[in-house]
Amino acid sequence: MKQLHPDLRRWFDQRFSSFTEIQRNALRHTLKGENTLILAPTGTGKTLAAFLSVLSDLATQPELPNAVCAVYVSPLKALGRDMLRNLEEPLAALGGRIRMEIRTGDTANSERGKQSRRRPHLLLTTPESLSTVLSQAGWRDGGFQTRVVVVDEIHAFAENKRGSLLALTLERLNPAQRIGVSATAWPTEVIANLLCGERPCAVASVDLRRAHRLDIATADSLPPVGYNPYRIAHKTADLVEKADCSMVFTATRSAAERLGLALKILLPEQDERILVHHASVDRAERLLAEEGLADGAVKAVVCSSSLELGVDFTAVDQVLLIGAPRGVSRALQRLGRSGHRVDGVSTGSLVPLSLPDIVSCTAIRHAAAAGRLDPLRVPAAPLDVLAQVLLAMSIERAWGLDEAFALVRRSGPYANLSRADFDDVIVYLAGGGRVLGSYGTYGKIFVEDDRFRVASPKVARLFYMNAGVISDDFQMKVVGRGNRRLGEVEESFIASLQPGQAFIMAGRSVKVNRIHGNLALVEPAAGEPVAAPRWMGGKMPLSAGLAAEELGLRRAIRSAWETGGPAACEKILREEWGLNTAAVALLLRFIERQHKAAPIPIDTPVQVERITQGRKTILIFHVVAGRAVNRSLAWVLGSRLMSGESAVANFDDYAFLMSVSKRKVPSLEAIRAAFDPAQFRQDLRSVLESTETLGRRFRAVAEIGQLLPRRTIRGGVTAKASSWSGSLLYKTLMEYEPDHPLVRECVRGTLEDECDAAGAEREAAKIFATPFEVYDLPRPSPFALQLFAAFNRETLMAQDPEKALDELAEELYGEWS
Amino acid sequence: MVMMLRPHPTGALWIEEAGTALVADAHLGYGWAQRRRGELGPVRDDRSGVKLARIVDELAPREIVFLGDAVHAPRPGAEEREFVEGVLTQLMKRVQVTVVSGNHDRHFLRDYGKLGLIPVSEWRHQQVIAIHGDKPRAAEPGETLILGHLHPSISVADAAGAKQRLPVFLLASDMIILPAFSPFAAGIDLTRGLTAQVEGWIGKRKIEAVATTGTRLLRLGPLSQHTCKAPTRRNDRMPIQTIQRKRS
Repeated sequence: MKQLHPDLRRWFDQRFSSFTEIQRNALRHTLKGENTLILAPTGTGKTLAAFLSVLSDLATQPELPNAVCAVYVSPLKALGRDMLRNLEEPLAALGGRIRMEIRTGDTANSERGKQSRRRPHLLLTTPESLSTVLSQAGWRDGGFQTRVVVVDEIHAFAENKRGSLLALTLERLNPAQRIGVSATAWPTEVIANLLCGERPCAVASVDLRRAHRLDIATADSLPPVGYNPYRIAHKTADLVEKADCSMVFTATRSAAERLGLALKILLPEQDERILVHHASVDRAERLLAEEGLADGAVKAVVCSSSLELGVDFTAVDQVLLIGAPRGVSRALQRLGRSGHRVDGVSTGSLVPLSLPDIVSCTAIRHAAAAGRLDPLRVPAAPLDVLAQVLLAMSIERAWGLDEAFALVRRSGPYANLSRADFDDVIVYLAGGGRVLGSYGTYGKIFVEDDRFRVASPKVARLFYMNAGVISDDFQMKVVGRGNRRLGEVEESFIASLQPGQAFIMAGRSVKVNRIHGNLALVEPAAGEPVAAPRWMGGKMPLSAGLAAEELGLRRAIRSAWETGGPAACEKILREEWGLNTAAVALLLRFIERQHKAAPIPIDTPVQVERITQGRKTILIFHVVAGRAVNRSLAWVLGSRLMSGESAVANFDDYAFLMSVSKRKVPSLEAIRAAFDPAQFRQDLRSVLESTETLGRRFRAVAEIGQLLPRRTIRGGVTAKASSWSGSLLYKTLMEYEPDHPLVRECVRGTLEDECDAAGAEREAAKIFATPFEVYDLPRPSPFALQLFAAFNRETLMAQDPEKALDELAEELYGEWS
Repeated sequence: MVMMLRPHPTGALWIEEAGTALVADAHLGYGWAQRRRGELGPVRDDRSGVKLARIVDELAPREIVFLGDAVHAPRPGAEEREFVEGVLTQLMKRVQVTVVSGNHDRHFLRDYGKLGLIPVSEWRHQQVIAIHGDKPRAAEPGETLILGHLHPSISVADAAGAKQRLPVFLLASDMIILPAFSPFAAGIDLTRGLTAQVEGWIGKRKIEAVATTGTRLLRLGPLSQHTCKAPTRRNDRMPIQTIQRKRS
């Protein structure tokens, strides 16, 4: 095996006793300069495994040019900052010859200029920043002579358009060696393809089923519906109090704010040491929380997904997952934040929010123990991202069309891109299209002699302001006393506040004093009613793997109940599913209630509940397949069964329902026929086209594809651009140019990525061939209650929604516990 | 005598007695103007021409009044000018065209002088006064004001729960605010609360909202029903069919 640079080896030996298993496995490949995917759980030293060879390689060079020689790309700015800290020591040990700098959207302008003159040898960045830096004038004269790129937490890019941007940007960078670092992900081929395309890629991995301890901590009593974090606040406070330093994960930013505030109230002596962290909290506040977790100065940080990825938090000794996470990989990733040291054991607890949530938590724990991960789904060749990258390339230099096409096809996600699609995107960027002929007026690029380049410096400036693939709604900055920035909320939320109503931000309750431009100036609230902001990007859908796990558990419970009643059920829950006494007791009462109405719904037979209320009949289909699939099923079923009639549908991860007129209830034969998988996709597409769904989504596609700017320059300052309405733009294009590449991307993305058309089609085929069990019930069964309550929330909104949910459940079922 | 002021599904207001149809905020040439600013949206808006032709066919007006913002931007490019002049010339062959000035078309005379249309600051028929609405103007008792400029719309949800903004007429006993005629204007969603501008104009008047779907009109009832507080979830799932059934 090729050796590490002696100075680096000396530093390593002083710092660590020996290489970990993953470091040995990885170095075998990386030191030889091979493309390598390093797969290991967090806390095994895998990122260092990647950097050892990178630093050794740089240190071995007799001379380093004034150029970037190694690039580290991570999905989060926080990871870059963390790496900056961690690499200082080894770089010093190597004599301080290797310059290292971080470059993200937060990097100050003065800093940017400096970087392009005295260039870092090692650049820490994100795909978005890398994509723009590669285009900028200051870097074009050989600013990048990249020997190696390290992509950290690469699995986090796999399932979204950031991955497409990453893959194309890596092709532009064209490093000699690519190293990917990934935790908890499967299948590995998908990630290797994202990293390297068709190039060979070695895989270094260790067993992902790392020792972890995951408990289920139930509150003394739990409601049958809802996700209100206040209900488990006492339990969470107890757990937080017992540990030294906790990370508390919630499903949404809004829930993080509410729980954070509740914990501060319940643990007043820890008030200052309980912080809230999510993507909308201001950077300074976030840094405070991150540092507190690193050195153990905080008691607890309540966060959404913002701290999910591998920043090192050695001090954390407990992870609490509030509510069942919607995927096994996600649960393991979050759990991996604790005991974050080599060979440490992750310990944590799932805290169910409701009675059915106990079932979901149990299913997750089972899947995690077995190491069953959720398969990754990669978006196929999004044309909006392609448009953005081609524009970025055109700013960098003039490109031959053939040369650019070949580059794009070398990336994994675009390996099968057709030349026709590529040409369509070029014509679009050139301002052409069906309306204007092949190339038009006021395009973003010029095409001449089969070469393309950017049309003007103005186009380039607008591009730098609008690059990226993360769509953001218009955000208002929330500023407290003494100009302290607390974070950002959506404008529409501020607009919806009643005068004098307070809201929670970064764990404080504040009220708006004054609105000034895009600033909301706030002051501490004094006992006003408090609202929790909502942010876009809500909950993740249930993963397919977890759905299977949940069904497995439901089948086991049902068969135990049917053969041996509560006693048999208790036995398997304790012995086979490892539930503790308290959780079993809560769950058994819930199961008993369920079985009085109907057996626990499973997949074979498919359970349908019919509930008639007044003039309406509600059909509830128990299909445990995730929200995306259920929405598609509900839409197609609605359009097939009720053509011309009005049907109102709703769905969640576990079921979907349709409300129809009592006199128009379809027969079982008709219902079965409506699940026919033939023509399913076409019908789903027709439904989508008959609604505003595609139009609503078009704005994001148009922004990524650089058709619409998010931001513009007005009077010398960057401002929110306001122009076309996304849905009117979509309608216009549908009318005049339905094969516009961005229109096609909008349809593809909605159908495949969002509605999971393939998954829905498979589920429809399964249901089509499976017997039904139908129950006519006077009220929804306990397992249907969550969906039913959500469906009825419009009548509940007049009061506090969570309280109203409790009242609805009580009205239907009396006291629960 | 009460004059009949009748909303038309195209977004025009029809005053039969005067033989006049008023359209506000046509913003002709919008697509081209956005292109000049560096956007890549569609430039075609044949639909404006189609809608104007429909007004002429269905109502046989003597006159069509553009109530401000007839064009979107000053200093049009060649194609933009050709397009705008084409739409207006076609129309002028069939009816008398009057242009009331708005804030977007202050330079109409300079940019489109050869059409021979001279913008006026207001249009008047007996007690009815029509202005663009970008500047304040008080009305005498007994007068009725007609305004554009505000682009009012109300969002309703379709059966899939997706929201759609429909342009609306706002009708009071002595004031009418027209929806934007441009097919590209989604309008200001009044269910998110009234803007200060809208509030400034309507004051304490009782307002009825009538939406246009392009093909027909939907009576939405008193405005206050739609603008109470923040958008409630109730709107999220109200199928359009439900609203249509309420038509009287």
